[in-house]
Amino acid sequence: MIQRMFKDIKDQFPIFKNKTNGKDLVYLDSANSSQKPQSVIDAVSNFYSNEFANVGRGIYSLAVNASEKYELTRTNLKSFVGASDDYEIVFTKNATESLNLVATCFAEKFIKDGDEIILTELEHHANYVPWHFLRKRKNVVIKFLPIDEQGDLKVEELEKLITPKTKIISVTHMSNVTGSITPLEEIVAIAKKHNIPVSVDGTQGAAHLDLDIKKIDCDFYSFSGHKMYGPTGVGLLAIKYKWLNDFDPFIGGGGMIDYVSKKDIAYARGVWKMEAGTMPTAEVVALNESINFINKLEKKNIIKHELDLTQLALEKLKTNNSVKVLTSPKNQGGVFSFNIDKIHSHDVSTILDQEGIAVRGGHHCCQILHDVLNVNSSVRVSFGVYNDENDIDALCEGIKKCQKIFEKK
Amino acid sequence: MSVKTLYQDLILDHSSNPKNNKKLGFFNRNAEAHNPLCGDRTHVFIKLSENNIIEEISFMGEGCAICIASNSIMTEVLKQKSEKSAFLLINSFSKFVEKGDESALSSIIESERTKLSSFISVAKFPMRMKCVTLPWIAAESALHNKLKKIKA
Repeated sequence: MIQRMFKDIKDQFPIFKNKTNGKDLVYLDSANSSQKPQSVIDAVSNFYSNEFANVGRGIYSLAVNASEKYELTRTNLKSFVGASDDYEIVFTKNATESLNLVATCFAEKFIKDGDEIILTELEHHANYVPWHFLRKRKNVVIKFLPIDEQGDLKVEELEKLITPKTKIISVTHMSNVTGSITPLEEIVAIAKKHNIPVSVDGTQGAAHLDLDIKKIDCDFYSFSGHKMYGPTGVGLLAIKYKWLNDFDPFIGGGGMIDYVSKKDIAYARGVWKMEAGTMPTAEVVALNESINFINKLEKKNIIKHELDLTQLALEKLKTNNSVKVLTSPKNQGGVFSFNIDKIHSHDVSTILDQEGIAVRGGHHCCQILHDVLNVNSSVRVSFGVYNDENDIDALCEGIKKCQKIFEKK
Repeated sequence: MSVKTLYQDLILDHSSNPKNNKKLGFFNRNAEAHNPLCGDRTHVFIKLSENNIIEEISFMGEGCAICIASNSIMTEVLKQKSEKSAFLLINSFSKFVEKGDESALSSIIESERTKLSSFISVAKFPMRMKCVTLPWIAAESALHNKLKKIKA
């Protein structure tokens, strides 16, 4: 029985007041992006209506207050991710940009031709393509830590992949396809023995998993605002403080300089050198409300809620012999993917959509994982705080409807 | 728009028992197309005679019911067409699918028009447009005899 701890929570999300294809919306795509509570929407509107000025520049009251709000989000994010003063938070466009920055502005400086990078078979394209760019530019070798039959990473094989040429390890916090949770502390412990920095794609982790980056002890943690009930257009990169000076700015312009002359330029200190030009200010300010939203519900309750839903869904789907769940990870978050016998994931998605159910069909930007699992595509279900048992029942009914349409063949 | 109008019997029949779903023993034109959004792919093989008639056409690929049915119906319809009328047909079909306008098929004989018009509802499902057009893109590039990759 799912605890009714989040009873009536849908009321806080205006999107659920609308019908989709004439049906109540059953939103099962939070791994893609989460819906927004009214408090976050109001925060964007309120900032533009009452508090707007560009930040970090003007010295009039409006600008000072706006700057304080912008920095307040940064401060609160630090405690949200469990970072002490050992880390700094940089605002980016999204987790993808954060991961690109780690590859381009940090790793590339230390990487020579023939050096090696370790990723995993679980990675989203966002944590592969930036490293592929590097492979193209510097002739780097990319190695993939494999998964076992359950879909969990074979961490015990990491040591074998490491050589003196390994310069960085970049891993996901949780698979956006199977929900397999990475044992990050184990990976970091192995990496530390060899002095290899670890970058984490926390896109799926930040809003859904216990997060204490100081405990994880990773060097970089990338995540996105829009996946944590916050606005689009703002991503985050937590950088271990000791690397901040080694991190080059990627975009140059206003706001990121210390001193400019005709002969030379000195960059701003700390995170400011990474935030050139006017940033997504209203989004950063509103992101603070999404942190408040999550904190108010409490992470431990969110984790339990989503895990209970996942277990219930998997149990119910087990009774349908035509449904094949891709993997059964030992340590799983609120995401899983499946296929229905002889029905393609895109057909399933279209039919479910007509029932008001939003799922993702395709390879979910994880072609390597789908290749490894030997499936062309899959249907993904991912949970958020607003989901409940009724959503799972709707999913099960929707699946039966897919089967009914196709059994006529 | 009911989902049943998308999954018409003819489409379901062709997707479960696709015609010409093999690699030709002899072919002199071929091309692949894929949809990066979902990973679906199709490979079309054509045997074009010396006087530019499509003597044989087949496909291999992975895809959803709409894509497989489109592949299957396409091979049926394009078989024995001249290269020139195949291009015209491909063009008409693509206009028909994109606009959901059956008049684009008016010059096509009735038996073929019936098959092709079963895709009429796809215009109401824009996210599924590529599923129908993918095989036709592959056939068009096969006739041009070049490898063409599409972008979603």
